[in-house]
Amino acid sequence: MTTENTATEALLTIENIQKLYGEGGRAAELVALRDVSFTVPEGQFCAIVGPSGCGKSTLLNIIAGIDFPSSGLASLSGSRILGPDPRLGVMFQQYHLFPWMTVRGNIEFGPRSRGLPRAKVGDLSKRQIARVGLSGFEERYPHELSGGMQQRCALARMLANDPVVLLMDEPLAAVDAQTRSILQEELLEIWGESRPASERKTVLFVTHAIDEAVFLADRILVMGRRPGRIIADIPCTLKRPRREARRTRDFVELTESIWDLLHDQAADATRQ
Amino acid sequence: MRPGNSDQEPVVALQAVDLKRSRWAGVFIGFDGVHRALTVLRSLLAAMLLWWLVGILAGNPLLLPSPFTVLDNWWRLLVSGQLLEETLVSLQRLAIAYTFAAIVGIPVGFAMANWRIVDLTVGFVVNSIRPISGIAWIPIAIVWFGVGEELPIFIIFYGAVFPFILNAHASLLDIDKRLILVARTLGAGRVRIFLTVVLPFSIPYVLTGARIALGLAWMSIIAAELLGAPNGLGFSIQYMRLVQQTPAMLAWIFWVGVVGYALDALLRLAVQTLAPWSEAGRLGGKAR
Ligand SMILES: Nc1ncnc2c1ncn2[C@@H]1O[C@H](COP(=O)(O)OP(=O)(O)O)[C@@H](O)[C@H]1O
Ligand SMILES: [Mg+2]
Repeated sequence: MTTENTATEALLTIENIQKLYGEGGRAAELVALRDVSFTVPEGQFCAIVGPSGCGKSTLLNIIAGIDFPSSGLASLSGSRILGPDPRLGVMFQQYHLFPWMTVRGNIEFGPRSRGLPRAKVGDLSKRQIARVGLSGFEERYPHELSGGMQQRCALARMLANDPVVLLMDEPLAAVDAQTRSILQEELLEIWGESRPASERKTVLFVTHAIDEAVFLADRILVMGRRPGRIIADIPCTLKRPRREARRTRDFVELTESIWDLLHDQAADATRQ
Repeated sequence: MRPGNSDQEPVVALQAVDLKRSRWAGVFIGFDGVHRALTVLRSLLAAMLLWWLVGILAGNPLLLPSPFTVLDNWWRLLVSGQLLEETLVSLQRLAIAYTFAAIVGIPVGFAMANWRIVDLTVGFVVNSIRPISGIAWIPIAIVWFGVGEELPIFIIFYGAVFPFILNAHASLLDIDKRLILVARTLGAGRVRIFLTVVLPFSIPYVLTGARIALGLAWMSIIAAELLGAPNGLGFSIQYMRLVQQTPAMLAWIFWVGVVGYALDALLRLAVQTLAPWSEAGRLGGKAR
């Protein structure tokens, strides 16, 4: 591998990350991540799949700068990630909206935290609210919204900071199947599926649903557990836009081949 | 997806549905309709009727006067201005002591949650004194302060400060750490996180504590004024005992209940206004 070359092109670089838990009083008991290395070029939609407990969230949190590796490093555009960074947008499975802020307040939180002028913040939030289809709901509180709308609000909140990389940890796992497939398509639209590759955001998308990964991603990293590590790096080159792709043979075959890869891992997970 | 979807165009059109609840409904009477209010009125009348019958059977108006005599006494206290005067005296003491309890209690609760050493020291003291009823301190408070303003204020403060401490403490222990992580990923610093995430998170808890504190404060003030004040509602009850005016005594007693209820309703309104996202302000909402 010509690591030299990819390293310069890569937006995100993950090098030999290890994460151990239980280092305190007793000896290290759990290797949550072992030797995880990969790079993500700009504009790529990269999915991470793996059985629960394999360290997907841990990995994402490390890249987001809210958790730290025991060794190894993650860097963004060549500089090491040492803490949260507005260029790294993060979204969790539970929406984690601020319950005391309205939709507008939630969406403006990021730009205001960065000290943007008031007028600019207003413009930004208005655009994002329209973009995710929440116009007319600006003054609602999160508990007055449906699950799908809360998720849109969380998406807009992340996008309002105009991040370079979107880090998403099972963002659609909590919504019902129908809303989910709508949100998947919206997500691809926001990512820039219908725009040229150079205008797309970079996405790292964690999911445990293989078909979701195949539907969304350009590339799928498959993780195994005990210890958490990457066991396969699979390109996913189905034609875009993918709206009709779900029923094609290629889609089904790719989904099944990944399922086979994960089968043993998953069976192992249920026995624990 | 629609090609060329602009930023302004909603990806999915949503119908605006009015989900807003009326903020004011159910605050003062605590029920959501006239129907329920009538039910309350009926049961009140029934209780008065029962009281009246028992009074007749007892046959001694000095022990249990009829409800109508009591109402009449209440009315006379009202028009004479005495009712308002004594009520204001008690409310003023309440306001001073209660505010003081909030100013001391909330920071102490926060400090206990934030620093282990404070929890171990102050927290220990708080939890060992807390089971002692405020009433137990009244005799010694008479020795310390004599009869006057200080005693009731001290006793109310004592009654009100613990709920403030405990709920402020609980709010920080309960805080959703993910919300703080989210705020950090969005670029917020420590001060901003404290002001816009930690404090708002604690508001419903603190306000619930404030309601409990108000109830306890109101009970304490009457007890304190029975023995340790030259005026006020508690004193008025005691005074009517000394002059053997049972109907007026009962009028004062029930008036204490009415004022206490009104204070609680006001605070519920405050909760709903200050923390519209929380459920704590609704009657039957969670109380901690
Ligand atoms: N704070 C922690 N302390 C100890 N073990 C942890 C902690 N966080 C996660 N783990 C463990 O690390 C492993 C990976 O967790 P996680 O990253 O949440 O997995 P996933 O997101 O893939 O389900 C799990 O076995 C989990 O129990
Ligand atoms: Mg996870």
